[in-house]
Amino acid sequence: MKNDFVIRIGGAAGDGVQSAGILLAKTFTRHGLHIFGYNYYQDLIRGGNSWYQIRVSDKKVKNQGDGLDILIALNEDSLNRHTDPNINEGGASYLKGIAIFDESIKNYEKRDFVKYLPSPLSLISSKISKNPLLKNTVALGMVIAALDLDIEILVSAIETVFKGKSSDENIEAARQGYNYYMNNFEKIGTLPRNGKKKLLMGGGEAVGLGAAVGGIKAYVAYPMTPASSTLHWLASHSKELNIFIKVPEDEISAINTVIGMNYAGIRAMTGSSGGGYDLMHEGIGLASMLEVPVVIYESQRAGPSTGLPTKTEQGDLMMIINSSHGDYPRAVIAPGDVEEAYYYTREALNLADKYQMPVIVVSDLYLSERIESLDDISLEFNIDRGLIAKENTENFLRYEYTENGISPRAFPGMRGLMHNEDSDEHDERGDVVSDVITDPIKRKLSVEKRMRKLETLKKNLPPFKTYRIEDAEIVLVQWGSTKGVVEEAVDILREEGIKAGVLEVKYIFPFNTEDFIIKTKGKKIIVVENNYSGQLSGLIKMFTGLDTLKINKYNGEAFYPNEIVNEFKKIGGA
Amino acid sequence: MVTLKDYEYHVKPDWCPGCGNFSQWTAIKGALVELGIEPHNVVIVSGIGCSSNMPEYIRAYGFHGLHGRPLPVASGIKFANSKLTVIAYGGDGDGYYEGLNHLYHTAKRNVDVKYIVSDNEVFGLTTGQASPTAPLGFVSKTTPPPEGSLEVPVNPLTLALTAGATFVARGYSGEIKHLQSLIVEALKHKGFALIDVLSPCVTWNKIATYEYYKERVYKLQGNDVTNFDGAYKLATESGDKIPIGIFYKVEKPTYNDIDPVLKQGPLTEKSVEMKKDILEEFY
Repeated sequence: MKNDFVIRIGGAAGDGVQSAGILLAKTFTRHGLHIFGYNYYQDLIRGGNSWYQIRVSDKKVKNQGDGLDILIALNEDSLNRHTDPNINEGGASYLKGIAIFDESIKNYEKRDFVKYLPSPLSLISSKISKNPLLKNTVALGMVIAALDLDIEILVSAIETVFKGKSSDENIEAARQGYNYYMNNFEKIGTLPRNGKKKLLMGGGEAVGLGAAVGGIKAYVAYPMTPASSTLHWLASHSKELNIFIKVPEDEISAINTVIGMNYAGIRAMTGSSGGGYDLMHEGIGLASMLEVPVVIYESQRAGPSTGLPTKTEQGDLMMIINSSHGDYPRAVIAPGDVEEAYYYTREALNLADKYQMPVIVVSDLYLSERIESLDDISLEFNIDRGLIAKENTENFLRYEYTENGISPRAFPGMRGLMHNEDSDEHDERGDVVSDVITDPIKRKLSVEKRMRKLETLKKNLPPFKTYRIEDAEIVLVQWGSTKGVVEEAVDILREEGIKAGVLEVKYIFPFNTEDFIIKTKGKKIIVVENNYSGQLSGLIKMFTGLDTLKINKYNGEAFYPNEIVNEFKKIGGA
Repeated sequence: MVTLKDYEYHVKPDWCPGCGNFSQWTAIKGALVELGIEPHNVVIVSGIGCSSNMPEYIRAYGFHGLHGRPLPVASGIKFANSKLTVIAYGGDGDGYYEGLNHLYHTAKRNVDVKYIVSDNEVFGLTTGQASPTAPLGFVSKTTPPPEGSLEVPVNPLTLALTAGATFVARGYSGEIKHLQSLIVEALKHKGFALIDVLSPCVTWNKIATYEYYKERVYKLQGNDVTNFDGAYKLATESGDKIPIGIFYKVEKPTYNDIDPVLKQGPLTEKSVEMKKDILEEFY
């Protein structure tokens, strides 16, 4: 029996497409079902073509999914657009299932593979209230009936999301939609209702929660899509979590402010997308030179320049790894899904303190703006502040040349540890060695001391995570947001008898060269990336000397599982 | 008791003999001692330029960062730990060209940091190019004769007033005691303070010399420092008469006073407590 459905709500910006999608997702996760939500939208506030896709199943869903079973079309354009076999929505499938739309829409091309369900969405909603968005909730009631789910759970989700009069109206709309469907149409499937309630979390929220559990006391950031979802979540929880939120005058100010905060002894983070992150480069080099820990969240969107502000891409990797001038230590981490966005963000905060260097957590629109169901996450976390000096240490050396490169920090306010932290080259004490007489011996020692931290970190890197790689002949290598879709592509290939597996790169810099070579030995390597040039593929060549095949997508949209399978076959993967 | 010796560091300044920065070095340390502030509670944050080397020569916590960026760093330190005395320091190129954006917004927010700018009208460390405060017609390597500088100079005082600074003053490196008294008043003031210091560059500026200022500088006396219009008018005085002293000083809540999280005390003293029911909203 079919247990995996794809539902799409299509309309214009301002039609409440996203809100309807999230309400539906919450209804599913309260049923104990798994979901994945994907937001397709444009860089405007009203009009255009937007849609929200929810995939639902009783099994974990790892991506937005191929196929389309239920369409809610909020206008004529959406109805035609999503039923067209020549659909041009960046890889999304056209409808082979039921279309729910208002009966006033008459002008559409009839397709054999679509079951059209014109319904009195507006008529029902207009009898309840003047609010035109209420018709969306009528349609959601119909979806619940179509999938044989519990209308009371939709009602409970509405009670959580809406307040007061608006809540009552939406509940009435949902019930009437549900009843209308039950009285007029047949259900298209049955999903189990008895699973344990799931968490419903967005990628950006997961970064925010990870930061909070990781112990940040401040988040300073300038708004930029798609990094803003983290800023918004933290701002809305600022008072209850005691986290200071500031939007400064620009991203240069943001990075320098959080460097000042970390220098003063608290954990503070900033975040942006590529354009804003570009402005932070000099600050990242500063943090590395002063050995001030700082975590920066970079959520990529399609570039260069303003690019596609509401579309996804993984085109910033080379830029992030090479953020600032000079040779300097830094770490780059790319979580692969919502759960990892939470765990790796808090881990990044420990790493930054331990190694006293910038740590960049890389996401993208596809991860930051998706929602996923999670069985559970742990709030238990051991905050490791790293090496901190004792007050009144005699002959305190802030930048002591230690074997592992890590030296003790001291915060202003601590007695007997006064010292200078300097962007000029400096010695163990922090005194400048670049001005009166440059000291080549100390310069060399200081460079080596900083870079030794990178060697220490490299030795402590975990091995790469893998998926079905044991007997694989072909390894699909991925990084970041594409984890779930590449894993599902491998599942499809496996069903066809192709021995494929996945190697997932989370710690991109420094790179665990040795483990990569071991895990890919004797196997064909294909690097799957949401960019034109194959940036990770280039890095792998640089780090390991290995040549790879590439699958790239750069039209602004995320991969779909069958797209990867098809590309795999095209480039002769098997 | 805090003495000057407590602020003495083994590294000594490398400025040119006669540089105006020496006076500021003396006045800053003198003011901190006068107020009995202990060195471990002081952070001096600077940008890049001759004057910005200041934190390297004072035994306190020093942060020598990026060109133009001392104010965001200083703000971050003050947001994190309101108990610290935070002095931002730099030159006119640093503060009025590259970092001007930050000056406006830090003043507007009334962040409780003290910003002292050594204003010599040139880029000293990069060999004397015209700075944002260089007068019209100023001749330098980048502004050759006969035209010289084509830009109207920045007036840091009117700019700070317009931005909403609660303490605006001008000092002069030739008047160390007066300068020290200004710094003392700035440190006692609760809120953002700008002190623009006329500071002769003995190597690159042959116009704004000690002799030049000696003839023109006069000390403000009896001016109503709470009168914005009066302060603004005084701040536009230039040419033969250049006023030094406190132009404007008013009490307003600082950013740390009004922010709902910051006003509860220093972030450095807060332990992390995660709400047990934080996951509820996700169900």
